[in-house]
Amino acid sequence: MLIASITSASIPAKNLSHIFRDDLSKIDSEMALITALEQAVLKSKVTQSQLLREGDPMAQYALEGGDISGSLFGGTAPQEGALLGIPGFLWGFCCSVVGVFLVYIAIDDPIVKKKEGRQAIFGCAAGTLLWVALYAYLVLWASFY
Amino acid sequence: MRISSRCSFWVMLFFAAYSLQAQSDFYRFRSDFSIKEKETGKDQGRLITGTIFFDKNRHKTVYDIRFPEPEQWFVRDTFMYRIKSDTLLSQQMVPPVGEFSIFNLILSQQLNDFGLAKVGYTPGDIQQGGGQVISRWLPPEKLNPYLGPVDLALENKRLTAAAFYDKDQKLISKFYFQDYTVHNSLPVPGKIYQIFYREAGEFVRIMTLNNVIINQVDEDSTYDFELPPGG
Repeated sequence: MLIASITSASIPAKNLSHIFRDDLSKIDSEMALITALEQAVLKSKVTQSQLLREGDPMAQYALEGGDISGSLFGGTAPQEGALLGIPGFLWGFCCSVVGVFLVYIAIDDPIVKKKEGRQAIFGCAAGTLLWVALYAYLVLWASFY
Repeated sequence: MRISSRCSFWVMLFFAAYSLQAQSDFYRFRSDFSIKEKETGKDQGRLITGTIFFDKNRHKTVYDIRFPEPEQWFVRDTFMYRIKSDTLLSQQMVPPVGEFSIFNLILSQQLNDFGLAKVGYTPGDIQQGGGQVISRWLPPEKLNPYLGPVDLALENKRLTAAAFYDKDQKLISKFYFQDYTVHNSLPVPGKIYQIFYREAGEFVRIMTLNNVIINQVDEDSTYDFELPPGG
């Protein structure tokens, strides 16, 4: 609530109309081999290990193993760093100490861990300050009325 | 002064209660899904198919995965349990994925602004053209050193695209929402494109949602799963 009441400085925006002009059919074309695999999988309900055992050439298009949590939960590729693609600051800001903790335990790369962890601590501090300010405001409000 | 303050307090309380009531109208989301992703320029990518069950009130999400291998991922708050053939494979702490998920945004009817208003973003420049309304959302001023703006495109009052920038205004990622269908009066995108702009190159993900059911009542045991032995 308190955050929502903070007004933002206006950043001059460029012409926004050009931003969303990606050719999605081109992306579909680039994904054609995986889409063919998807159709085969949905039709015959096979698993990757079955495809590999049967020597199905489609199997070569799908990566084997690896952590799929980033894919399921909506993050960027694992090596990209930010947990689920969400900046460390937001983890700390929204989830407080738990957010900082999650950033530290969920990121393996020590360099990224340091960077994101630091941002999470800043976020945690900012979030805590806002809550304290809100609490103080409510206490003052209650004492006056 | 005293009366008006009290009055405004009750008005605020009423709207808060109304808001809670409105939000609880939609509490369950079920859909078959497929996720395809790859780095541009590479033939190999990743494919995941399955069914998602999300219960907003209980903060529980179930991923019933069929491909690459059948297994279930149970997520409750910040704990995730991986089950395969009724055997607990692993458990670990994860971020509160349900709260940040697109399913939660859909059920909470916050997809139109990507939930930005709730976290304190405010709309800035708004431009119209080609049937689209594109608005630039700005983070709270105090968070400017850490967060960048977000551009949202709406068509017929439905979110069609979003672009995220870092604090230096560098484009990080874009989302495109297509093939909307309406379920229990809730618009649900059937196809979501995500493009991540990384130093190593672009990374693309396409998520499709099919056979959507809102507020399903005949699979309580799935939504309200019991933790596995040892979990």
